[in-house]
Amino acid sequence: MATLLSFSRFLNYAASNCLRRVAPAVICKQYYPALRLWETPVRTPIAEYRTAKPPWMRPIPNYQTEIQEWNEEREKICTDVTNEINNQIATDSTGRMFAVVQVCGKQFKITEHDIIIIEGFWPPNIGDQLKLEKVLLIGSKDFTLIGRPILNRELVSVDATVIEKTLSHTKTRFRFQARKQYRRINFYRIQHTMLRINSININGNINEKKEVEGLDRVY
Amino acid sequence: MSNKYLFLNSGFPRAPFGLGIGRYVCQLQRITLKFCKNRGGSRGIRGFIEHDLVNYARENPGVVVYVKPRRHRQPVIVAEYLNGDNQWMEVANYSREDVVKWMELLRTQFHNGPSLRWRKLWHTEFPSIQGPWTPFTFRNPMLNLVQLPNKEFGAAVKLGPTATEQLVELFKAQQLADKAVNDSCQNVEETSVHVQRT
Repeated sequence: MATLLSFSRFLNYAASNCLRRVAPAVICKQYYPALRLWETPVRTPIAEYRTAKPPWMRPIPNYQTEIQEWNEEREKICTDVTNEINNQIATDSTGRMFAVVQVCGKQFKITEHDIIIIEGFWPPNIGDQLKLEKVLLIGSKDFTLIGRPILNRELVSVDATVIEKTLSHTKTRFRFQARKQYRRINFYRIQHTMLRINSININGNINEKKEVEGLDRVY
Repeated sequence: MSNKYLFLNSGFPRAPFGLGIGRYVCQLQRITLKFCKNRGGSRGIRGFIEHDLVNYARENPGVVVYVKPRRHRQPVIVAEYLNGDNQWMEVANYSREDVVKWMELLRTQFHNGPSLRWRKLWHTEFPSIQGPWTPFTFRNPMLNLVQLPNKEFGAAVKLGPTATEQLVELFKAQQLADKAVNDSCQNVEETSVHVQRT
């Protein structure tokens, strides 16, 4: 009998422990995607890669914890904002959109029919249609989607055409040290690739997690 | 030191005829190869004409290629573009591979590259979509209703106690101390001392 009791107590303990662990993750699964910029962001503690743990460090839980406030009012605001954005996307009334893309290590703020020049060696040739996939931000008159750090490449598509590949003017690199009989002069030209942005689009609704991702391209 | 770049034309990125918005069109209109049949300096360009030129012309049907032999002159390539720009370049003592590369470069550009310096690497017709930032962006709109002049908003930004305020503080502390001393001693010359200090 005593063993049975102790066993049930153990079960109880385990169950309560599990529940305590599971509960916050389940309850706080909802998050606020459309928060205003100047409000404090929701902090998600991320387990760090650290092998040696000093005794004074708190143990890192093996499950992801999401510490978020639960607020009906904010929840409603977020849902409304998301719905409004989705509505605008669906009815194609977003107006002109802009995006921040990273190409060849540099970031450009672009909108439709813009021209950007990329410096340095870059393989695409003239007439090539490109899809710029590193989109850090996309915005329109009424809303802004910010990637963390980049937006889902299925969600947004930024298309561009290569219209020119040329060399820059001749640049001079002159090095000189006074009173040291040292002077070097080099001339160089760097590659320039001119891009025309054709379109910036949002495909599908925001704040929707698809069942399967990454089917848009095959390696 | 070469200061040639000081007299270089400069400009902002533009594309002729809305290039790239619809179909892409190769902007090279015609290209002229001038060379000598005898001289060694024209060897590379002669090799290009012999081996690669037919393929080049076949692959680029929109480009008119002229070949112009001339006696005892340096070899030259002249490219003319649809926007009226043209580039002249001398190719004396270039190898065949070099000529292939330069011909490719002349085909892929639409202006005389070395004669123009870009001042920016970005061009847009729509500089701002959400509106440019102003001091009132992201501020409380209640500020619009405030009657000016307003004491609260018109006051200078206060960072710390000024020297005057510190002096006043010191003076008050001293006064308190004096008062305590005077109270304990009940000095007769209280008033005169106080008057002198103030």
